[in-house]
Amino acid sequence: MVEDSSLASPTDEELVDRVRKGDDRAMNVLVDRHHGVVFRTCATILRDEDLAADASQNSFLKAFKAIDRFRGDAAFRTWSLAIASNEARGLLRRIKQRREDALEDADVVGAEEKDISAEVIHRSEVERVRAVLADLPEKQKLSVSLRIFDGLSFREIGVIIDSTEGAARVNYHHGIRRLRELLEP
Amino acid sequence: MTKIECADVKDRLPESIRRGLEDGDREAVAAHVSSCAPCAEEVAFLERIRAAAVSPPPSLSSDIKAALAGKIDSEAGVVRGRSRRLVGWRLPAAASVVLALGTSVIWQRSQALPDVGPLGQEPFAVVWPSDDADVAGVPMLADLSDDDLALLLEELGG
Repeated sequence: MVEDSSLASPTDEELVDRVRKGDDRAMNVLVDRHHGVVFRTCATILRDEDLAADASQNSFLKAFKAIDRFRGDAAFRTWSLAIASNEARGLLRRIKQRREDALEDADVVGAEEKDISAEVIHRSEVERVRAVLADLPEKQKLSVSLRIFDGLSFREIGVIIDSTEGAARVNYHHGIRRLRELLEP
Repeated sequence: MTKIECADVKDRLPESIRRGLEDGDREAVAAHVSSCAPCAEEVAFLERIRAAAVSPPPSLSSDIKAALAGKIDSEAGVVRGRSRRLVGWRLPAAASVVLALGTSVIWQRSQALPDVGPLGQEPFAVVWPSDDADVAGVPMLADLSDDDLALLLEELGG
């Protein structure tokens, strides 16, 4: 899709104003800018790329549907990521509920939650890192991935994990330390 | 460099490895890292983590734009005609909906049947469902695309 070159550099705030006035091209630029981090956030929570793609799409639909309620207290990116993380958590809850309803075999559930540290040894480097990262507690893995993959500030991360800036920093450092323990000999 | 300076540098390394620092900061961090083994090791570790970032599917951006392009139902806020696959739990859920609707149709039909007279009389011939597919509810769902079936699931609270 060809984007309007005049929209290549405006700030998110300017684009949001244009979206409110009905400019669909501005909406597309915001999607181009932020769909990657939205997808990674959903994938971090859901641990499934197909589901993450669905959750990302729903997140943008909800964000733009509610764009008039976006007051600009936070950046559009932070706001859309908060929506995305809620969407992904909601989807994860529904999936877990269905699994619990369908599978009453405790051994099967236990197998999903077992410690993966012993399994990751034989995987490729990238797979090992992804597996270990995915196994961190949610706030830690979100703090690490949002900080390292997308460069978010601890203030932004705090909003997304529903904690303070300081808690986001602590979660990040705990996550990094745990990754070191599991990845380094 | 003092420990405090190391802590400051480490705080900025995620931006540094993403080339996200302003010119002055970038040079200061680079100068520190070049002469500080622990910070250089930290950079290498963060780069290792960063290499594991997942990328969105190439079509995701255009899929989202297509979904946004006038496909939001103004009342229910649900998406029509989006490109979704029946993966994971959706397929058995869809099967459950088909079964439930088929059962419902059979029940409704049974309620509508009048008292039946002796075989061969007119009322019996007129009201009896003549098509097995009709009874099974197939005409209601046969023409639904995967997208519309997924939509139906969402509207049913799926």
